Amino acid sequence: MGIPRRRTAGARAAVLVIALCLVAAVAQADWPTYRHDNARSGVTPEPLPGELGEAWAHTPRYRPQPAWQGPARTDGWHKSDPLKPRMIFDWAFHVVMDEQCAYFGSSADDKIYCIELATGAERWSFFTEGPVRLAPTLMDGKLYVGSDDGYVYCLDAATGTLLWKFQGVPNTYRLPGNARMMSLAPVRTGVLVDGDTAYFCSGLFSFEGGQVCALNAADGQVRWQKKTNQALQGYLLASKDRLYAPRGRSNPAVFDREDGKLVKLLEGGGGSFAVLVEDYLFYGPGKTGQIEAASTATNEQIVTFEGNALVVNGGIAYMQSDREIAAMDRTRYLDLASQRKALEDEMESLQDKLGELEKAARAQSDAQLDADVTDMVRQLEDRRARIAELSAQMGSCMLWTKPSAHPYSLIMAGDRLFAGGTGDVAAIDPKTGDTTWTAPVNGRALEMAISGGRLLVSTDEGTIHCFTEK
Amino acid sequence: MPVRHCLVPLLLFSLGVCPAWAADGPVAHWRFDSGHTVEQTVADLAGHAPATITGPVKFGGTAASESLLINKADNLVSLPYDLAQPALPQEAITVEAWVCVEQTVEFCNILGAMQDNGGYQKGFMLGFRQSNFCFGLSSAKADDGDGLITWVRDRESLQWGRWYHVAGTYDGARLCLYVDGRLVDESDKQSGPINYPAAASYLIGALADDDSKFYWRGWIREAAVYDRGLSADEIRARYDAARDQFPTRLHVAVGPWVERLGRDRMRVSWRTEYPSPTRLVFGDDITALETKESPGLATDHQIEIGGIEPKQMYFYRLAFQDVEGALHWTRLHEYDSTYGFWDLDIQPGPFPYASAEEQARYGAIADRLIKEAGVDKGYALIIGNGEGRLAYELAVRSRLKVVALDDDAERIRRVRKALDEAGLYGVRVTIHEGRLAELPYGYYFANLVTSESMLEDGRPPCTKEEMFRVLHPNGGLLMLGYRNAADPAEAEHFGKRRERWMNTPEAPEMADTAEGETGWMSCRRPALPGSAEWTHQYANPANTTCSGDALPGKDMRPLWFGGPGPRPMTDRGTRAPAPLYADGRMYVQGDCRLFGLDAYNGTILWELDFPDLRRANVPRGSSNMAAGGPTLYAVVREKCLLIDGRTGGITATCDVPEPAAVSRHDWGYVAVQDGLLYGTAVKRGGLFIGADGEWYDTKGDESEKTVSEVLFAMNKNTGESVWTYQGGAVIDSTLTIGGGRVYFVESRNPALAALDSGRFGDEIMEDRFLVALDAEDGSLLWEQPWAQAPAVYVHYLMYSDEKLVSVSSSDEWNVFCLNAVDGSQRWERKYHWNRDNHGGTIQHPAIVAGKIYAEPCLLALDSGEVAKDDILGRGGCGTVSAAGHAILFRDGTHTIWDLNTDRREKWADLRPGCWLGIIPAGGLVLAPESSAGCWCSGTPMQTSIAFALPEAREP
Repeated sequence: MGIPRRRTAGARAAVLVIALCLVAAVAQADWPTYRHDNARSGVTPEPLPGELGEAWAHTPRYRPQPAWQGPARTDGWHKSDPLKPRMIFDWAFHVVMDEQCAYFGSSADDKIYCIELATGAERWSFFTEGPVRLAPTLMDGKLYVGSDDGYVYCLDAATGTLLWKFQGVPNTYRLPGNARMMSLAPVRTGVLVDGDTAYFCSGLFSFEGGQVCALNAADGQVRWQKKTNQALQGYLLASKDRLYAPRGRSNPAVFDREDGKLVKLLEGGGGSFAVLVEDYLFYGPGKTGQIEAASTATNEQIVTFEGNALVVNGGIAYMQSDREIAAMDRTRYLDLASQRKALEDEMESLQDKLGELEKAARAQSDAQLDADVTDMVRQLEDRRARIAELSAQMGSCMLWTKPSAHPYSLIMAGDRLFAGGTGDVAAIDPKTGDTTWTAPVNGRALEMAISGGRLLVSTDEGTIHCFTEK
Repeated sequence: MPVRHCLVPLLLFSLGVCPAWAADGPVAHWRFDSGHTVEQTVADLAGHAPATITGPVKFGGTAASESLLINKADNLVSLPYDLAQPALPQEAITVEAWVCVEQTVEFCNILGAMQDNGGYQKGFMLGFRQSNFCFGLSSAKADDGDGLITWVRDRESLQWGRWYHVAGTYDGARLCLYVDGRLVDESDKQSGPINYPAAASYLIGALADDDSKFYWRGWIREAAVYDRGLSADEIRARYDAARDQFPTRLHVAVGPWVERLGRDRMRVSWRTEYPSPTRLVFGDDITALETKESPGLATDHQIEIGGIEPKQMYFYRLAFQDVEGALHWTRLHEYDSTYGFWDLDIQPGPFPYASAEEQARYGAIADRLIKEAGVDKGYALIIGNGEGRLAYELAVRSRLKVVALDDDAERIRRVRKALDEAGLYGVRVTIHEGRLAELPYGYYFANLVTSESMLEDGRPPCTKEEMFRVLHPNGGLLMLGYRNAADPAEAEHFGKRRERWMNTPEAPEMADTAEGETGWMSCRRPALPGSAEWTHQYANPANTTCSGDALPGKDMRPLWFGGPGPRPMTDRGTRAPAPLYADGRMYVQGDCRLFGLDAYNGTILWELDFPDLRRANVPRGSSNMAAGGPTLYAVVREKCLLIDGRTGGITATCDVPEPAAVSRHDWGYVAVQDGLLYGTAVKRGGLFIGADGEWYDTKGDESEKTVSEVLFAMNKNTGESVWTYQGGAVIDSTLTIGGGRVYFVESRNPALAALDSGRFGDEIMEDRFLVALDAEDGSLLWEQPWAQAPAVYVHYLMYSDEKLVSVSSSDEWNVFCLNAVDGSQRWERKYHWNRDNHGGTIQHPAIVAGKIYAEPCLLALDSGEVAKDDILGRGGCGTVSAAGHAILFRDGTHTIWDLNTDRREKWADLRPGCWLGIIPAGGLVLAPESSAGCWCSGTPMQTSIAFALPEAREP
């Protein structure tokens, strides 16, 4: 992976640290939710045909109208630039797919669309009363979607008929927000459906409060609702016991899946990208393109590494940054990183003890104290040397690193990676990092989905490109 | 050996350069042009130390001034750091360069080898700190004994885009800095051999030591190092020998300024004093700018540029070649097309009218409504949307966003479809389903409230109070049309119903006029009772930092939020000008950009990109904006622009008047009151303009005060001079108007004239006078020596209730209260601050209802009695702003302190900037985005936002 400018040697080492695990197994052959599954893995076992060509491109009348249009150019105080946008959940029309159709919502005309995969033609559309910023979720023939009007809608996926709708924060008012008339309590987490339960959060400002909700997916009846004072924006993720909710520029919040109680706010650089890989949640892209990794067991932040996004397949992690794509032996790396983390924790403890000893030694002249100080310094030097050694070993875990002009999106289908760039999308051989296919697209390829032998690419111009076997 | 290394000696040979330079010549000498550069290597004309360019090698300029582009972190020039080499002299040194800085940064190197890491400071550097050239050096025998680098510095700010000859000399005993052949500063604190660090980077065009890296943008033509201190005559001779090679700065009367016309189009405008063929060069490659078009002989110049690529940084400058062929140019300006990337170009399609007559009728009605409302942008609310005809016509005939409420689901479905097919749904028109009697909206947002259903059935769709609740103060129009019944009995019946509806006691008075078949009931909402304006940096010309707005307090809720976001805003730390509010609009200054916003719904009414609009470190100077009525007075360089607050159009310009001169002075302070426009003339270079992360929180260079040579008043409409005052050096931050007087502190230190600067530090503490002039005619009312208020950090004056309050800080806060009529002292207080960082020493107090809120003390204005000594408890930087019963400040996030209940509420999620960014005005709390550039992952959003009370409290 490339090293950002002005990064310290320590930070360089941290860039190389990553802890990765297996992606949750995916049984379905379609792409029913944002980034394929509730872990947002971006990985499908379904291979795509070897030779892809564009079948159609669907360009809605209006391009996306994002809620947030990006950060300042620079951080003057820290002399950091360019800064990463940390709220990009609605910069393209993200699609979900089954075998027949693709579905997406529009932040421009407030509608939910169903388009036919064979032709790209619109089959039906449904009006909500506010911008739809995140992709729907498809489950058992029903489509679940949240809107800036404050409602979750459940539609018949075949016809677009409304089955039920639910307002997360009742009786709130509408106001001009992000240049539209919208609810003070919009639904900007998408709707995560697992089994027979639909989860979502509503509310935007922590001081106004919001709700974490679990509904019966069949009829919209409330399973539980929990007030929250978190500002939640970005796709929800779910593990067996937890819900993870991105908080825009901030770090994700962790909620208990049983009752919506807040478990923890994670630490790090923030951002609305997140992926759950068994025992780890990865999120970013932070201020200038960093992914944080936190243990789902302890909710402690473990490592930070450079990148905008990543996918994991088996023992290998593929990481995407502004200028490179890289693959890493995650198993060995994780082992080394864990050892290093333990040593770093030890060092912190030793530093505290050394401080106390030095203070005592300054207060009174005592040969034993002096000897203890000397011993403590020696122990610290020992840990420091071992950490340096581990860092060096971790550097050798990189399997390959390739320059890349595709920094915006990364998914994996079968034995190929697909990466989005400006004006084109590329297929990459995961064994070598070599680019094996490219195709032009209209704008920046910000998100992708795969199903039924088709690759759908969503750009910031609002275009959805469909690539399939030539 | 790489090819390029073989070529360097060949090149030197071919140029006839003798490596054994004359004994008194330079020990290193680089000319950064294509003739002396091979691939990445620049020959050393002295034969010792060829320079290596890392990154792109791009040259620009004329043939005579061809020079290397230093483009921030993209490239830099490095030299071997070998203390044995001649290019690092040991006993004495002269460093000189010809440079053109296009964009300064907080601190940067032109040529040097240095470590400046807190207590470890060694080596030398010729460069600039913020906008001031400087030369620093550490020697073995520092006379001041601190072992650190001593800096000499030019007091005058360098001008971006202007070529300079800069030289630093050290002869073993004396450190000198020369700019354009003129000695600008010197020091004898260092002596003996140069004290070099063991390891350092020897760089040209960038600063990189162990704890910092800084990069700048500009051009370098030539640099040289001598192993002796050149004399003043030698420096002057070197400057004179080359000065005519370079383009000179082109001065245009106004501008340039940029307006975005669409996603891929923009317009660049400027005005010249005389008809002249200035041209615009523009492009995305600094070294290959193209002449877009020559508008010919004119004073008003406008060029539209198409094909703007999204998310692209463009560069442009104005240029002019005189009859003798000499080139004159403005500095290089940037245009960031990222902002506006998402804009839509909406081309409405037809609407399925039942008949041409119906179409004509609704078109005429929409025209009438738009004309009466007097707005083109903002929100229109249609209660009772009917068939959507009025929504369609309003949308296609204006830029209003139309929000419509209806209660018939089937009709809504039908109309949505029609509007969607017309390309308007969502982006311009939204229909909500709900009961008409209870509007599901917050307060005040609608510039126009009307109804289509009432046009057809004559029935008001909901109560007048409910309509009025959402109506925009300061001119929002509630206008309901109805069809006059042809039948007299029916007309009388409906007339009585309307009369009953109109005359409900809680509601405002409405006019009812019948014109032909259509009657109109209407009223216009005035300003909210108890609301007030915020027209100057500290609320008003009296600098009370209190709007007196009676409405802000506890329990306020979001009224609107959204743009402008952080992208176009000034970095949070630069203590930039406060937003203003007048006549229902808010004015926000971004990074060289002005926004006019509707304060009640956040609509961005207009924006102007003004590359020369910039002001920083307001506590040590002044804001560059004031508002009055419909006009915004915005200062750009030596001019005050009168901008129509409704449209953003520049309606007039005013120059600094004589005896100031537009060639030497910038317009500093600006205020408007009682028909007069007040201003000051500051020597060019005296204003703070930094926006590169400077924080202006400490003392030293950044606590110097901007001073003016001329104080003046002119007719605010015509620009006709009314009076001028010229005495000492007027400290801009003290200028205060109240009680018909203008107050200020000035220094009459005779030594100031020789220093020839618009910015001073300790020098203006000498011979200070507190002066009061008649605000109408400028005559002297009273003056007195004013030595008792040390002001190392800041110096403010405030006026309230015929009392003049002086607040300054040095080792502690010094507060004096005087009788404003005659200057006699009423009381004084001294107390310490809570902390000397994060604005603790520069807080601007607020005067609210006879009390001075001056962190950490609360003082009685009458007596100076300390009611509390632990108020506020700010978290982070920033300063207070006050309403009639509330204080706004930063306690980590936006925070309001309700003075009636002594209760504080924090609006988490939102981080203010580092100075005054939240204003209580118009009955609202207005907080445009001001945290730009902040890491702050603790605040999930960066947004402009306004808060209002759910129900307007009576004052």
